[in-house]
Amino acid sequence: MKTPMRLVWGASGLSVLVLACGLGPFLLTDTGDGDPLHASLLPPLSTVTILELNDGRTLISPEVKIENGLYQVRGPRTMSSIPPDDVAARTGARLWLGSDRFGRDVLRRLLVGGRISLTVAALGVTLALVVGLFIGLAAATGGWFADAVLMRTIDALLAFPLLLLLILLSALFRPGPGVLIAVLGLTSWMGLARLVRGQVLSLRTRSFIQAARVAGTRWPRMWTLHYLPNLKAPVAQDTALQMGNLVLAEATLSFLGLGIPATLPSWGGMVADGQRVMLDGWWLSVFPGLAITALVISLALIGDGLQKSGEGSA
Amino acid sequence: MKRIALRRLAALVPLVWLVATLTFVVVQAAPGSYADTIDNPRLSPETREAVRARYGLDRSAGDQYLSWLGAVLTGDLGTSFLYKEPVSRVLSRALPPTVLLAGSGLLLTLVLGLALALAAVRHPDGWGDRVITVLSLTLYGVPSFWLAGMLILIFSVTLGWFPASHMHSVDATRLSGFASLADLIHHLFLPAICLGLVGAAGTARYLRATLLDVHASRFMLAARARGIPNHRLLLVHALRPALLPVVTLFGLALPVLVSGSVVVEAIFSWPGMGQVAFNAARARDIPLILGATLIGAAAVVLGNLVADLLYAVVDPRSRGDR
Repeated sequence: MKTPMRLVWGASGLSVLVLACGLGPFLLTDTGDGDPLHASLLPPLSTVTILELNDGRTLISPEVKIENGLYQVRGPRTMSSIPPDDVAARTGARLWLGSDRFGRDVLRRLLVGGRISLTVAALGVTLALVVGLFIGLAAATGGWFADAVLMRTIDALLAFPLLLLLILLSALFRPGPGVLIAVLGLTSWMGLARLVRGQVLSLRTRSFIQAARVAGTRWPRMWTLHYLPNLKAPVAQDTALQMGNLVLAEATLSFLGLGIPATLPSWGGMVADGQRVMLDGWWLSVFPGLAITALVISLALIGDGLQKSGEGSA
Repeated sequence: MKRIALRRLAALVPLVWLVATLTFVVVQAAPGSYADTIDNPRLSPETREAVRARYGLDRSAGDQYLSWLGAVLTGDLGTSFLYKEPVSRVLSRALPPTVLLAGSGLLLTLVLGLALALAAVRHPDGWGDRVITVLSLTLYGVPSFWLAGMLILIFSVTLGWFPASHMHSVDATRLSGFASLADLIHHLFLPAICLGLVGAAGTARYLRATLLDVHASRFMLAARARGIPNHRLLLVHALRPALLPVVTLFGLALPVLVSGSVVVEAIFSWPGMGQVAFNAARARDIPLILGATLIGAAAVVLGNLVADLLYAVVDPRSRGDR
């Protein structure tokens, strides 16, 4: 069967983003913690000279000249003169996406932040997947009482306005990345559990499942051998869409200052920082926003594509 | 049907109670309390303790919970720590702006989503469909906080067409009735567009799929064979069954209508429920958190109920077995 184009596009987009975030920081010239004095708010595609000094400081500036035997390092408001003896190394670099207020490379922060965003969303969705699968299977196969209790619990949890709940939890617990994963995962398994329960209930009417039950198959084997393989397609599709939602949720929380702590780069946090100085540097909020959009679209395309190929085979 | 509605309505009460109780447990389990959030280094430990006692935070959790529940049953939501006034007054002040903003957003969502989906399925897989598919997919992936910033950058900062924040101009109190309404709409425009665009993307994606499903059905073939013109076929025959899921979307939108879009309200300084809930959560303002959650939860369950009932009204098939 032909693979849907959407799946191809989505998977390529996701791979590009994952590869860029994973390998990109190794390929870029290391600009360290930046140089707030000389390299702040440089536009995209600026070329800079990096001077590493003997005392461990790093100066980064788009304009470095040698005048009267001294390095003249020009910044927007300051000019530093450095004797050549103090300079340990001189390298050049290109800031593809410009620099922020603190003279840090935006592309580098974007890629490092992407690692965090991707990891948080992937682990969050894995947690939701495990919980959702377990609860869904338990509700469908555990008898009417377990089913009733679990389904009413899901109703109650779904009755929380999700973003309010996320904000409440993150404001209360001030999460690091670990708690954030738990918060995101534990607030997003309900839809999947419902899906799994419905699928399993319909599977139970099929003759191969009934045959297995008559043969006396025990539940762990029943779950792993009969239910899970038949759940793959709908679950994979739902998981891809759910991961997109988690990326957006994490970015929103980080934007509000309640997600990834400000000491780490994150896409949502970068948009928030960028919007504070929007007039001095449009690139600061534009690129992280585009990165979030690209990731969410890729995941949505994968979800759509999986749905299409599922329809084709059914 | 009335009996079903009443039974479902009665089932809402324990659900809303459960949500409020869970919220209470979560807030209690979290470290810190309102007294710790007061940001004043000169506050002595004794004063902090006095603040704790003043708001009843020194009592046991069970004690606090029971007295809150008792008060709620008599219709008293308590007094907000943060705003120093009754929770009901804070919430009833924040609700109208939220309903106004989210209502306009919802309206735009439906109108735009419907228009995009209809335009897309006129010639499925034609270039118009492709453009709309790409557009709605892009809007679907755009985070609303980023879109809001871009709208502000383009339409208020660069072009200066719309104000970037708040509900009224500073001198709005001096404006006459009509001018003040125009002022309000002027302020409403950008945040409502922001909500509407993000919502319309999902709606259009969804509606397009259902419209195409309907298109493939046999009654459409029969209608086409009867010589019914294309536009009538689309607007009358295909749209009616395709609108069924929109009823569900409508029900799902109600919670946002009441609890507010926290992000859009925060960016546009819109004085609504989202802002109140955000501030309450940050200040550990327990009565206000509980009050806002109560209203939000009630809205979610009511929304689902209304959607179910509307479904039964529009689709006779769904009345049967329930």
